[in-house]
Amino acid sequence: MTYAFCLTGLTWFSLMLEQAFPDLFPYRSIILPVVIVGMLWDGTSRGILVGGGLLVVDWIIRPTGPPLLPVILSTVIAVFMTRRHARNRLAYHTGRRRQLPDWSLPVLLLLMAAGVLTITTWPDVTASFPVLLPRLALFFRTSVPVCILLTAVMLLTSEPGWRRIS
Amino acid sequence: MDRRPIGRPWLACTVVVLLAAAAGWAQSRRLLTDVRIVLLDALSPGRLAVMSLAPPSPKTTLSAPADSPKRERNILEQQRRRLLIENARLRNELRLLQRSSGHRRPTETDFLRLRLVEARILGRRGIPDSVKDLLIDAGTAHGLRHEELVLDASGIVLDRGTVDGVQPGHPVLYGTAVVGRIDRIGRWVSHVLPITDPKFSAEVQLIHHTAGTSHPGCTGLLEGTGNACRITGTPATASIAVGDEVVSVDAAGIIGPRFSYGRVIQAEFRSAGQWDVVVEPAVSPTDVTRVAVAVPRLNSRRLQSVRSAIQEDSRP
Repeated sequence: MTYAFCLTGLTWFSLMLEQAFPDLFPYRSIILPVVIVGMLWDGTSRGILVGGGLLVVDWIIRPTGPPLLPVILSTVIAVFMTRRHARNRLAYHTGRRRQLPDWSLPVLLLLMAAGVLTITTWPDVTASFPVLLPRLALFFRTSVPVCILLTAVMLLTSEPGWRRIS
Repeated sequence: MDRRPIGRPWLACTVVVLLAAAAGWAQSRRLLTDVRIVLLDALSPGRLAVMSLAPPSPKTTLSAPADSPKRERNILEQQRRRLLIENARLRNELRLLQRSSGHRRPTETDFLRLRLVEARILGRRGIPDSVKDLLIDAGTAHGLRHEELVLDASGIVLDRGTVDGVQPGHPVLYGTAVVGRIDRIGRWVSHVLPITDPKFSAEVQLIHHTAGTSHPGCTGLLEGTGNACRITGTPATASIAVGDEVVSVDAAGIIGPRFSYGRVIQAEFRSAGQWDVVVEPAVSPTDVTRVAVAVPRLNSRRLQSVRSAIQEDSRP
C-alpha cells in the first residue's frame, strides 16, 4: 500500500510540475520516467497495475490519440518481468549472466514510450518532422536525465537491501 | 535469487488493458471532459503553489515591439480587423444618426465593457498535441462563467490591468479573433469549445468591403463543421461574397465590442434559394498560444447617461 501511495504521490507531483512549468518540463517528460521506474521498482504485478492505472489517469487528463501507451508499456514490462523471472531461475542453476543490464532498461522503455506517443499523436510522422524534432529534443533533454537519475536511485537502493527485488 | 514471487503480471496487464479500453471508449463518447476538469482542478492548487514559487514572467505591454515576423503579422492582422469593424460600425451609427436626427444620443458608445481574463492553454507543449480538447487554466475562481467567449491573445496582450495602461473597453478589443467558447468550467480550469466544433454556434454579421469602404451586411448563424465553419440562416436576398469578414453581432441590440470569427472563403447561391457559405476561422486553435476570456459587464457610465437622457426627455 505504501508503494502505491508513494508512486501515486510522485506521479501527482510530476503532473503538477509539468503543468506549472511547461517550458521547462515538457508534458510527460517527468511523469514517464517516474512511472517507468516506479513500475520496475517493485518488480511485481502490483507495479504494472499501479503504474498502468496512473498512465491511464494521465491519458484521461491529457488524451493523445488512442490510449496505447499504458497498454504497450504494461505488456512490455509484463513480458520482461516474466522472462527475467524465468531467466533468473535458470541463472541460479547454471550461473549464466543476464543479457540486458538493469540500468539500460528504463531508458529503453522511455525511448519506446516516446515512440508510441509520437506515433499516436502524429500518425504522419514524416510530414510533421519540422514540428516533431524540436519537441522531441525538448522532451529528451529533460526526460533522459530524470530517467537515469531515478534508475541510479533504484539500483543503489537495491544494493544495501532497501529495495526488495524479485 | 528469487526472493519473492512476481505475482500475476499478465492479470495486472489485462486489467490495465481493460482500463485503457474503457477510457478510450468513454473519450470517444465525450464522457471524460467533466472527469478531466475535476482531475485538473484537483491538480490546480499544487500547480498554483509551485508556480507561485517561480519568479513572475515579464509582462508584455501594448507598445511591446514585435519580436518575430509572425507576431508582427498577427498584430497587423488584428489591427486590420479592428479598423474594418470600426469602419463598418461607424457607418452603421452614421446611418442611424441620420435617421433619428434631433434625438440626443448618449456620449458613451458601449453598453458592455469587458474584463479580459488571460489564460494559458494546458496540454499543448511537449509530445502531446491534442487540439480537440482545448483546456485553459482559468475557471470560476477567476470570475469566468459558462458560455463566455475565448479570444486569441497571441498578438497583443489584451488585458493586463491598469498597470499597463490597458482599460476594459479599450478599442484594441475590437477585431480580436474568437477561438471558442467556455464549454465546461471548473474552479481553476475550463474547457473551451473551439469555433470549428460542430456543437459551436453563434450569431454573426457579415462585413462586406469594397475598395476602401466597409459595409455591414446580413446576419446569420455561424456553426462549426469540424475543420471550418459555415453560416446558415442568411436571407436569400443577401449579398455575400468571398472575402467578407465575419464578426459578432451586437447582442440583443446592445452595442458591445465586436470580435472577428473569420472570413468567407466560399459563397454559393443554391437553387433552393439558400446561401452555402463556408468560413475560414480567423485563428486556428492549433496556432493559439495564449487566450483571453471576455467577461462582459454592464457599462455603468453608459447606463447613467441613458437614464439622464430619458429624464431630460420626459421633462415637460
